Amino acid sequence: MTERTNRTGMAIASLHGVEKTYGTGAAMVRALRGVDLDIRGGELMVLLGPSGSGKTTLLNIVGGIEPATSGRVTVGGADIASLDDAARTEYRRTSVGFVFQFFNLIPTLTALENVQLIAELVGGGEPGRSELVLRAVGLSDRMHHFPGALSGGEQQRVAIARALVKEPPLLLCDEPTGSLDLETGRRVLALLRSLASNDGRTIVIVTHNSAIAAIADRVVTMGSGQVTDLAANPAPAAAETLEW
Amino acid sequence: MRVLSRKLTRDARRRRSQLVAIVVTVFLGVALYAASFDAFRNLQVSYESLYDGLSFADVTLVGGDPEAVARAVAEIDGIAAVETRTVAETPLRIGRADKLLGRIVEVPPDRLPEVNSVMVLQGALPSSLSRSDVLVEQHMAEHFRLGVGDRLEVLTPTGWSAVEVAAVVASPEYLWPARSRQEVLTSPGDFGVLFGSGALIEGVSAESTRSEVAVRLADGADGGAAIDEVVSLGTAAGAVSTFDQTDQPSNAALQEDVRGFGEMSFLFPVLFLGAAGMATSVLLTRLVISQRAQIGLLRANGFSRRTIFGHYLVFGLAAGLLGAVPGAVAGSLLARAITGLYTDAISVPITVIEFRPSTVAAGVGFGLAAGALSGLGPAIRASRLAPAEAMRAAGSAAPPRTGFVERVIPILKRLPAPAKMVLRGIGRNRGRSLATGTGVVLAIVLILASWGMIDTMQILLARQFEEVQGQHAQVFVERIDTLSELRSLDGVAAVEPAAQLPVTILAADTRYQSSVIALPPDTAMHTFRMLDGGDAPLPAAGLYVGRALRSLAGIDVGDTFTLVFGDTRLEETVAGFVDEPLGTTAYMTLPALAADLGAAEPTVVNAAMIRYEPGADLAAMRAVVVDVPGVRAYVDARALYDTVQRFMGLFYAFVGIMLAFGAVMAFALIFNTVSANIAERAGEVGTMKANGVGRRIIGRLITAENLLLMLLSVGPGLVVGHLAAAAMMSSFSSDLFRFDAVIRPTTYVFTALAIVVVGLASQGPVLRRLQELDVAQIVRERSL
Ligand SMILES: Nc1ncnc2c1ncn2[C@@H]1O[C@H](COP(=O)(O)OP(=O)(O)O)[C@@H](O)[C@H]1O
Ligand SMILES: [Mg+2]
Repeated sequence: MTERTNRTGMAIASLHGVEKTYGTGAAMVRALRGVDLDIRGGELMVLLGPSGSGKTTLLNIVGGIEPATSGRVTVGGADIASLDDAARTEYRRTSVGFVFQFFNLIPTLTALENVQLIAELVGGGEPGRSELVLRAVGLSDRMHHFPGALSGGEQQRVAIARALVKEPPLLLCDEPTGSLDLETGRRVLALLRSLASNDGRTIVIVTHNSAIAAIADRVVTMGSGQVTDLAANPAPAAAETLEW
Repeated sequence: MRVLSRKLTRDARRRRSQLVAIVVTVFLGVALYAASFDAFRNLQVSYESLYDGLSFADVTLVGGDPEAVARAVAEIDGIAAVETRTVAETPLRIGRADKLLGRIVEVPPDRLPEVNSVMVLQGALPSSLSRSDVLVEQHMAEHFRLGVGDRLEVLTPTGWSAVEVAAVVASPEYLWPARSRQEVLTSPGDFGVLFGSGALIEGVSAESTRSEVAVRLADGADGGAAIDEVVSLGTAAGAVSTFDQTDQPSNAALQEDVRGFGEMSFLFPVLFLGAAGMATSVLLTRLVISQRAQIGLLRANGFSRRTIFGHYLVFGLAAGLLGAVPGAVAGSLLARAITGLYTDAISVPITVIEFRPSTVAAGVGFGLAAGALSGLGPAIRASRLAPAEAMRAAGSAAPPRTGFVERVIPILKRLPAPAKMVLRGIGRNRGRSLATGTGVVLAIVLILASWGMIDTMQILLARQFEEVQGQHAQVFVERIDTLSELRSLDGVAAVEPAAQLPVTILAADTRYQSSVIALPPDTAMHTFRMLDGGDAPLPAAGLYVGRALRSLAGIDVGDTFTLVFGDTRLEETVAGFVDEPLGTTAYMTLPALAADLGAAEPTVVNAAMIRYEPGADLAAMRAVVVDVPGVRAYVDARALYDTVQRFMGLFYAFVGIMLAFGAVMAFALIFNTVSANIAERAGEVGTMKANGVGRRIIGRLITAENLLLMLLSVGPGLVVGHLAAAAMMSSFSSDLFRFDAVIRPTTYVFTALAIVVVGLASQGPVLRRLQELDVAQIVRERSL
């Protein structure tokens, strides 16, 4: 317990007064209305909220996929809001890993190649690294299969391996179990939990499923574009015990 | 980016058949360019080498005292050689059955001319050419099967007199045997050229003779300046008129033909490569759209815009390169065949075939450029996709809504559900429908552009020779008395007096060589089709002139212009414009012509138009008519028609190849768009199958949607196709040939039908594969 508290300490990402609006005039949508939030190094944060509450928007802004309309977003001390497109691309390449609800694997590449594609992008690292990561997510025997021949859970684990191969300081997962059945979902969550607990990775999981909050170190609840609640969870549950 | 390029090759393999179709279109476009451009250049080089080898005159001075003119120009710098000669227009007779307009050109008795030499194709030049020896120009020799030792007759004051063929020759002045700048189209059976000694020419009874001084410039002489000097000194020394190579009848006709060819050799490849580019662009756009989520994912992971841009641009470049390289090589080879066929068809004795690396390079360049340009739009589109697409793309199928068609035609809303599905399928995926529609339109244009040209040529020539001209033959006679003799012949149905005279038309600052045909006011031998529609009788006063004159001289109905007959200048009015595709003949009545010339009507008659009884044997009639002593020469309307068709041989060959290429390309395009249309429906079909919809119904729904889409696109395709044919035709037109696109209704129907049938057939393989696809696999990949 103390061990983990030590690990989750400094804020590696901070949002101050972040607003996001889409469109103009009558069609204007205020997706985020002043969000203040710290993401601490080594924690597993669950971002909870009903559909349309702005979770994905928030995640995209932290991940450098979309710019905020106003407010400040600092990650690792740098202000993301002021980056131009090229610098934002660089930021995404080096600083964040993404996992999506729809796994978004490239169908014409095998599981291994999907991971290698990203490994190559960030400079490869040592040979065999992609295999290593795939083994770590439990896919040692399905590496050479194409996505069309993998189950949803397997595809999502490939997606996680793809995000991890970059060694990103921040792993952002948008509804990672949204397309999975309970059992498979649990396994993916267990993987994420162990990545935070055992490897010290910083992970944000976005979900509308409140059951998942149980495995978090901290739970942020959102509603109508604002943070409505922030609760620490001193004793995160094991993913295997979840029910929904 | 090893893995990224692996993705590229696998994506390409997945869309293999469409990619092949695109490569084929680029291949055809480039091959066509290389073939036509090289053939065009080969022809020019072939002419030039023949001209050089035979010292074709750079400038010819007509009239005056030839010796004085020759002396005057011989001193000029840059002159290689000067020859003086006499040219006589005189009738010829071959056997008893053939009389024709002839020309005898003087050659030195003991050597080849230094200017306008001849190439001996058969026989040999006698060491001394006697007055009974002639050299026969090859087209005439071929037509009448004349060989060395054969005899023919020339007209002398004492009657027909025999001469003997010493050799068959080719001449740079008669590569295309044109009688004059205006009478470019004469049948070799009606006009022939002999070369003979001065003594022979002195002995014949000629209609006209003229002296000429032919001048050849030295290699490397400043052509323009030297010619100007020759003209000014020659004219000062007494020459009456001059012409250079541009106005030399044979060369002018060939250049005219080759020029049209040259323009088409540019326009058609542009059309083809444009279509190929458009097809590539459509395919790549569809690819980018279907890979939105993948692109978003790559961008979210930090792939740069430039990498994404390059990734998709490479598709276009690869298609361009794969098609262009073999296309350029195949085109170069095809150029050889085309050149050979053409020089063979018009009997050019020297065929120069060159391999031009520059053409191959340009062809590859054009193919690459087409590929790059067509890949540009989709690649930019891909690079601009927001990374957030990765999150949203999967869930963002466009919401179903009432289709466009239904909104326009509300009654369709009452259709049964499956029919509505078909209609809405078209409206729902606009991009896909538009892509298919574009493919159909392009395909129709490719076919119609060339088929329309062939139709136009055939329809208008047939109209001219079968409807406008009523005579079977036009004969030249010495006196009007001969007409009654002709009328009394068995098999002759009608004979009308006529006059045909060479004239110069002067209007504004235009000077135009033409000829006037005068006919009886109520002539039944010619139908006057007016430019403003409808037929009209000959005007009581004034002339009908060819429509080319309207744009050429800027004159309109009611305007006056000057007509020059020899020494006579007449002020005439334009009574109307005839819509005739060939030449620029002017028409008037015989009484008007006689009045204008201040002569009695019978004395101006120098020709007769003859129509035979139905079913008459044309050859036999020719022999009978030609045997009438007063008949000087015979022009066979049917043979002229054949000559025109032969002159258009290159046109037909070229456009025929375009049609073949266009058809292959159209089918590739249709295959491409239709199969892309279906291949994109994997998710849709998977969902339908997963929901228990039977294969047969799925097939029927997709077929119905595609069929409807094709039918909707056929109309615009036919309109654009007609416009393309018209544009091509007008690029081919000149003052001597003018054709507005006329396309047979059946051509439209067949084109449309072929496209739709091929379109439906193209569905087959992809549809079958889709229906057999593992639903599970589709559903698993669905998110992408
Ligand atoms: N590109 C966009 N244009 C307009 N509105 C958008 C766009 N993206 C998201 N929104 C709106 O912003 C709000 C928040 O969306 P989102 O962050 O996706 O919610 P969540 O992920 O919590 O379901 C929603 O109302 C959504 O409709
Ligand atoms: Mg969301």
